[in-house]
Amino acid sequence: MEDLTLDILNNVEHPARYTGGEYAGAIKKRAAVRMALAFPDVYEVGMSYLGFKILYHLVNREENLAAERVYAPWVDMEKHMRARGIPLRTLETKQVLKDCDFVGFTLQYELSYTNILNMLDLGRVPLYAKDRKEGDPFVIVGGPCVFNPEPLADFFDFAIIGDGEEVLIEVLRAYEGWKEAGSPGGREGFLLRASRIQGIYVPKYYDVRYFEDGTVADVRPSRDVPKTIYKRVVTDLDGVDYPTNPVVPFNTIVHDRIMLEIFRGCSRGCRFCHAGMVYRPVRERSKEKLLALGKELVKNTGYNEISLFSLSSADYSQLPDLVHTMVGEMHRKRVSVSLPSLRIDSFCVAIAKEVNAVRKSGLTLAPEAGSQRMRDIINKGVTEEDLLNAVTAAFENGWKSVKLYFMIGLPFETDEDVLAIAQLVRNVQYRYYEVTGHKGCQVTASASVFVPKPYTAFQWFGQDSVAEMKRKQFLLKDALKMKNVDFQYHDAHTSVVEAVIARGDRRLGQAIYNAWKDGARFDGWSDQFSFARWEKAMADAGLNMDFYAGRQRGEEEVFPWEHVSPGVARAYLASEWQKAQKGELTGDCRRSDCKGCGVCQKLGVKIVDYGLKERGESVSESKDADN
Amino acid sequence: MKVRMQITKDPEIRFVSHLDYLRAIERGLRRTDLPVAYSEGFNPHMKFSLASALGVGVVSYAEFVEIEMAEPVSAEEAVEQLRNSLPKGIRILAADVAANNEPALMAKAALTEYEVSVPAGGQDLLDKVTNFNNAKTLIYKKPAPKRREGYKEVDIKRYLDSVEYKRENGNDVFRFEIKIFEDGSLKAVDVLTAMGIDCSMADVRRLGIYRENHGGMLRV
Ligand code: SF4
Repeated sequence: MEDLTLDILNNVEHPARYTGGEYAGAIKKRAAVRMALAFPDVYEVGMSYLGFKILYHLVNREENLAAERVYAPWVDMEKHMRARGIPLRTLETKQVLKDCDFVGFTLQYELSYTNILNMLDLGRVPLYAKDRKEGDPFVIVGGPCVFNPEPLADFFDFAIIGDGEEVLIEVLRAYEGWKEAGSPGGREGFLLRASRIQGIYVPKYYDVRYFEDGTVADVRPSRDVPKTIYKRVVTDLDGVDYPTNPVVPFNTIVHDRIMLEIFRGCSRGCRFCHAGMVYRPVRERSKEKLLALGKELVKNTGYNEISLFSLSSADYSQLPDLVHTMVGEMHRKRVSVSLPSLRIDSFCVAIAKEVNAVRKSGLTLAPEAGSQRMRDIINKGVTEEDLLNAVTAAFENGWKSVKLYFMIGLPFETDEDVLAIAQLVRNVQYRYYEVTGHKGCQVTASASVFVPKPYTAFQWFGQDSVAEMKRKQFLLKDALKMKNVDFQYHDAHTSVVEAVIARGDRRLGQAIYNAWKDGARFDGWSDQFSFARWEKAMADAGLNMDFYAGRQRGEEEVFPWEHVSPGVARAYLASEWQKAQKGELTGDCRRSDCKGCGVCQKLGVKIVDYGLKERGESVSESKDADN
Repeated sequence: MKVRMQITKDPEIRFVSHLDYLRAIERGLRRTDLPVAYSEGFNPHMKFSLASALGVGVVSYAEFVEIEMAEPVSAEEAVEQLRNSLPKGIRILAADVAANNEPALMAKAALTEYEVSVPAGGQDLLDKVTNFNNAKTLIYKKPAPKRREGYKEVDIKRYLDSVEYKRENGNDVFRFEIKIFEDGSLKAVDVLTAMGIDCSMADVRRLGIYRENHGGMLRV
């Protein structure tokens, strides 16, 4: 079969994306079970994804199991591949995807879904699960967006819901056993076996019925499978093996540093935040474990930066201690320690300075909304004073610029709320003047358009129309015409398509297929995205974007994703939605009482926080919450 | 003191860019316990240098890296530690130690030797090669570096007199040495393109770098 020849590689951007050979790649020529970990975006994005580093490590350390990497070829490479009939292969042992036992995609963002179809097609795997035959791979999906896998239900064989560390190995071992037994029952035989593993969702074993108005009537199992698939949770992060010898790329990737996950989950309870709901409860790694892992990672990777990674790293119970000790230990090899984000209310100059002890990086803060009213609606739990205190401390310590993240198009938003963003930016600039006596603080204000996500308090919310989004962007752009302010925003149309898919149902499969067939690739890249193409794809599938994105959903409406669950109770989300309308706050359960989201009770798990040893007690007193 | 090494860029990593190759060595060094020297200041960086940028796609058996050490180390020790810390496509061929103030090896480089093979077409290329070897001059419009318009006229014969040619395993294989002047040098494909040979499938390998008058290969 044809392969990537020198002339092709000489004529594409970043050719080393396609050639492998990186340090610490796991080349297993012989393995009983081979899985492709497929990231539906370019190499530089996919190689930055921690989840696959973890799974790559866990699979490859097992005897007889092999995991290999594959990424979406950029459009220039795809052209060459299609012109010469070259199939998509993994980087390690150059397997065509169709020859792997499993092809596992991670669902990180909705706008990568057309890339999944494209990779399957380039890898010679039949796109539709129903068309796959004996000898074809099983196509799996996992990752955060798997909490609504329905738009892709036609294309994957089964989904892994929740933390993958334990369940993936169970699946691969089950497959090995099935194969050794002579593949009893064929593909169906294995699917049935897989469906008995907790956390595995086989979409074809569930029938969806719709009402005449297009909403879901019910979702019912057609086999002896659970009515609701709950996610898998790793309860003790210290107890699972962490990838201390990850593949070190040649190319500069998006997060080109050591990523050390200090805890998983976040219970701040921001009402717009999908990750904050689906990764509950909070589970920390111990400081001792992290220090040991950090040392080993530096030794094995040779990176000069280590990022203490999580959804909200400043919330780590022993952060000052951890940072201080780590910075000291890393100095000899000039390795700097960084935090991916700092929360405004826990912003601490001592830490901010220390993490920049070796290298100075920019200061980024996320107030998310401009007015207090709006921040209360989204349960951000910070005040303008918190923000001004944080920047004051930063300015006093030599920072001259700050980047602020906001959202527009949030529920119950008025024009005053939008304009309050500009006022807040002005106040930050003035604070710089007060502190330093100089003008000219550089502020980058970035405003993204809010996309309602499943399993959040805002899952009922009808997204703003494109016209309304554009009007708000214009309002804000006009109000931010100030010296030294850089306003960043992006095309509202991508947010609509994202919203359609995020809360879509199975019928969207046809639209995704149509869009792909019509050339949709890399929809998350503004230069590749075409709204007209998606409008046509939806219309040809007989679907209406507004039904999915703009329609306010009924209180009692059955959502297409509810048979796959992170354990968060619907009643809790509904009460958060009510509280949002009244601007009432809900506190963080991490170091206080349970707020009744239901995850801990439903899944029999608990918070692990080293700042609060006796967490178990307060959990048992927690409100009873059920789905 | 500094440790000097001759290292490779093997075929499997030929498409790694010069900067990325440099960084791969830096990371390799950080994986060892060698006492590499760092610069002072806000952005401390490892004190090491790599001679001559290699084009993306070119294989090399003659890259020269010089690493400054904060404490003395033997060449053997450095090689021993670094050998397993580098990606597989970077091998160490030779090493020695020198004083910090010793001029960079590449400062004395005068000749680069290449082997280029292209899939053989129907025609034998002996005529083209003979013509080139007999010619007094060969003016070539060298394209300007990436993203810039225009070209520069150069006389290829200023840089080399002759090219060796043979046909081997279905490939046309060329071997030649290009001179390095103070105002620069040529790429291997410039030479063949100027001779009218299609280089789109060319497999280019740098075999060695030599001192003036073949005063021995720059090996240490
Ligand atoms: S169940 Fe209670 S303690 Fe557990 S994550 Fe939810 S709110 Fe927090």
